[in-house]
Amino acid sequence: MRLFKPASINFLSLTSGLLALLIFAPVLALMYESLFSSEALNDDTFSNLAQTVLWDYLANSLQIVGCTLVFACLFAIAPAWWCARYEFKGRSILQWAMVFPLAIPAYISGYIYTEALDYAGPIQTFLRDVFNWQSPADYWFFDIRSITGASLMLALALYPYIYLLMRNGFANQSDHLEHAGRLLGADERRIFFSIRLPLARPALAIGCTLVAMESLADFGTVHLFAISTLTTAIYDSWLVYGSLSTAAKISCLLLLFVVSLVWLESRQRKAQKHYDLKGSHGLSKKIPSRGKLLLIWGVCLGIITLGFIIPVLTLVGYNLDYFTENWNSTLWQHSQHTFTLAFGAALICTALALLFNSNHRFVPNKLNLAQQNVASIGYAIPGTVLAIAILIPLGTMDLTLNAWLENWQMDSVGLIFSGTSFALLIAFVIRFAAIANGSVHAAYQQIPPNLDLAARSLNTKSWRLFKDIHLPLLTPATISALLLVFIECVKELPAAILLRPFDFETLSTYVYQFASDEQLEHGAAAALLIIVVSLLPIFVLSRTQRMS
Amino acid sequence: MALTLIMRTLIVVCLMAMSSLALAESVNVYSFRQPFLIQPILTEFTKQTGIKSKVIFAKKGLIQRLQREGKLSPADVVLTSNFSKLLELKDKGLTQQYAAGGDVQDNIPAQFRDDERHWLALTQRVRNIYSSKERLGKLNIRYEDLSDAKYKGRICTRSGKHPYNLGLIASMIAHNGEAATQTWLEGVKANLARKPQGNDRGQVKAIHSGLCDVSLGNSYYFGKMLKDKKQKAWADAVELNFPNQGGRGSHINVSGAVIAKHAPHKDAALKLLDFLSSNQAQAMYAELNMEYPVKPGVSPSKMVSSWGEFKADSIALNQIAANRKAALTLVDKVKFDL
Repeated sequence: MRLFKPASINFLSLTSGLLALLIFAPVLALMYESLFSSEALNDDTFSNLAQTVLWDYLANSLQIVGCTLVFACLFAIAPAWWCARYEFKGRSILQWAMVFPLAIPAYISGYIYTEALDYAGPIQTFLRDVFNWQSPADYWFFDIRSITGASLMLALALYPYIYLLMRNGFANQSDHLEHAGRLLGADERRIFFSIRLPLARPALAIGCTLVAMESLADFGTVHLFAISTLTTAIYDSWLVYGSLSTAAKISCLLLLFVVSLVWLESRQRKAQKHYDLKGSHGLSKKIPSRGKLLLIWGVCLGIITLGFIIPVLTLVGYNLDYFTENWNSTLWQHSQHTFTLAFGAALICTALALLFNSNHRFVPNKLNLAQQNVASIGYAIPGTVLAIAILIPLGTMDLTLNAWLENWQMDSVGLIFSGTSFALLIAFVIRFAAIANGSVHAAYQQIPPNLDLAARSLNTKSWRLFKDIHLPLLTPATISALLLVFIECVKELPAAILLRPFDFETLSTYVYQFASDEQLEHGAAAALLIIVVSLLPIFVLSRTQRMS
Repeated sequence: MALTLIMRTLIVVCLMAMSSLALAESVNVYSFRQPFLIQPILTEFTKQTGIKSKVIFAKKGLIQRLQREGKLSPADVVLTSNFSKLLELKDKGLTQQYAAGGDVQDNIPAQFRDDERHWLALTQRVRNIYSSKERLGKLNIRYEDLSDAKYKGRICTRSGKHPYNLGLIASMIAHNGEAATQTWLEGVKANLARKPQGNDRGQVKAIHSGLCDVSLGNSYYFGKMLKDKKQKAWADAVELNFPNQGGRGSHINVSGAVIAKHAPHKDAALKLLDFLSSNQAQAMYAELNMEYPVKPGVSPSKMVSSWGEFKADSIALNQIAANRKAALTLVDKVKFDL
């Protein structure tokens, strides 16, 4: 039986193929720059770096990714399971509060924890007073400005990715397999580790990939903590050594590394594709024992306190201390800019994710899968490098357009592509398309293909199949995608700082200006606004999900 | 239905994003210097000339941006916070000459401007050595002494790759040669109390808390800390020392300005440069940021004057700038930041 009609695929494939190519264009520009530009052929910066510090940077990057993943899984998996499995008073609030730390950029919590925990901070000063220690040599204290410290900050800000995906994954599992496990005499622990966790592997894999890519691309936190990583090397070679080709080379290495990771992960996953036989409802809820309840609340509240409550309270404190410096008319303008851009980017990313994934669903060939992967590649590119990669083609477009206009004796329009917020919008879309894609992709995998077959046997066309069957089933994932991209755009820093046009600040660039000068106190209101704006969609999402 | 709605929203968002560029008489400034510092000066400029200013600020990447934008760049004036950026802008062909025989040349002494009229310095600052009042007191110190074993575990500094430190290291190469500077830098690294991190103020804070006793920092930070209610305690814990007073003098760096090669509003840019070198703007720089004015006759702020007279290193700026890349390579070679 044929599953699709050729005419409809051609249009769909063509559109999504073209869009994937557009998203990929800056990466091509980057590769060209690293290999063939005149600078790339006559510059010894890369070989100098390779002989001195590049391998230290690489080792630091890998350690950061590894530690962040371990911490993020520790924070995410157990709470995700508890919130999906158990029913208890306050669960609906707790399960959403666990997402709150996503609203806080890692460099902001990094700043706050450094203030609190470093040698001059209140905690060490207090300890020194109590125990009469005189100098750093007299005692040992956890050094927050270390790889472990930076990973901890990143994990606190990023674990909600894994948590959200895993919670959905667990909640959509059926009870049948557990019953089978029980019949075979397995206890709860064994059922969790040999049935539940492996079944949630697609969600875990995607969550971990997102966290790994995000921590690899981080600049703000590691820079604040003075840890040299590959992103530092990219920044340095481009902005200190002034060698874009070296930056492009290191970025390509980083990219190669990420692409092979993703490829390995998906290849391994292909070997065991899971189609859960869903019952009429998902996982049924259990009532936890008293001890378990205590554990659940203790652990979850602990994580929320570290990742959300302490940073927010500190910022509120800064606000009260430096009230006049913080509240001024420019704040409203910055938040409007940020909000519009982030919303636009979120819409585009989600539309693209639906397009690519449905296209692959209808025509599951290698080409369409490749499109999907290609469109996700931007997530692996650090913001600064992406900014440059985008400026290359957009700059060329501007030059060409202006040359044409000059030919036709019309007025120059200036840099309408690379010099306006259009460039920033494109950067956000390319950078965060992967998040929307990951969310929609995981949900699509949970829709059993026999639904499609049933619809096809009733002669349903692709568009109707998508609109009436897939889309309703994908709604939670679509909303998640919108939400995740929106928050990421509001928080995005390195690309925004380089691509924003004249007289244009996003909240992030505004806050960063103060944080980098070690005066976050003066930007605390804007930091709080970032957090509030990022929280709003979480509230909306929790309401819609509760109603449904 | 849903799709058309999405498409419509997309179009609206795109249109909003592609906002048009303003056409009124204005000057566009790319600034490495922070907005809160230059905004009051630009506001005064607008008041006097009627020319509006637009500023984009970034600590890094503006030069690369200018290069990419080419002849379509909207930038008229670039303000930098150190001299190596001034020379880099000129070397990369991103600048154009300002008028000969104008206010700028009358106002700024020759050592603070380019022979070919491509850049000019606007303020100067000293790379000072801060010392703990309690544990070391006022010092008669040279930069060279920082590698002395008696400072083992007692020195704090920001990243070696920061332009202020690179400028200092480049000047050490210019004076003492590359090999001696490498030995020196290795010695300084061995004396560090912690790996390089934070900014110049953060090092003074570390002295205040007892983590280290000596740090490198620009002069104006001392004044800025004294004016901040929280940071005053940090500044009160240190002495400000002018290094190498018995010899060549203290290393100085300058902030400055250039006119962009493809400036769309060159006349306005020239007026801005004239204004920035005028008595009024020079006095505002001195007052607002506690830097040393470059224009003779304009005195530093009262607070800055109270730190005393000092001898400045008179080596030519481009001689230091010539060693910038060597300095950068040295920092990586001795793994100063790792």
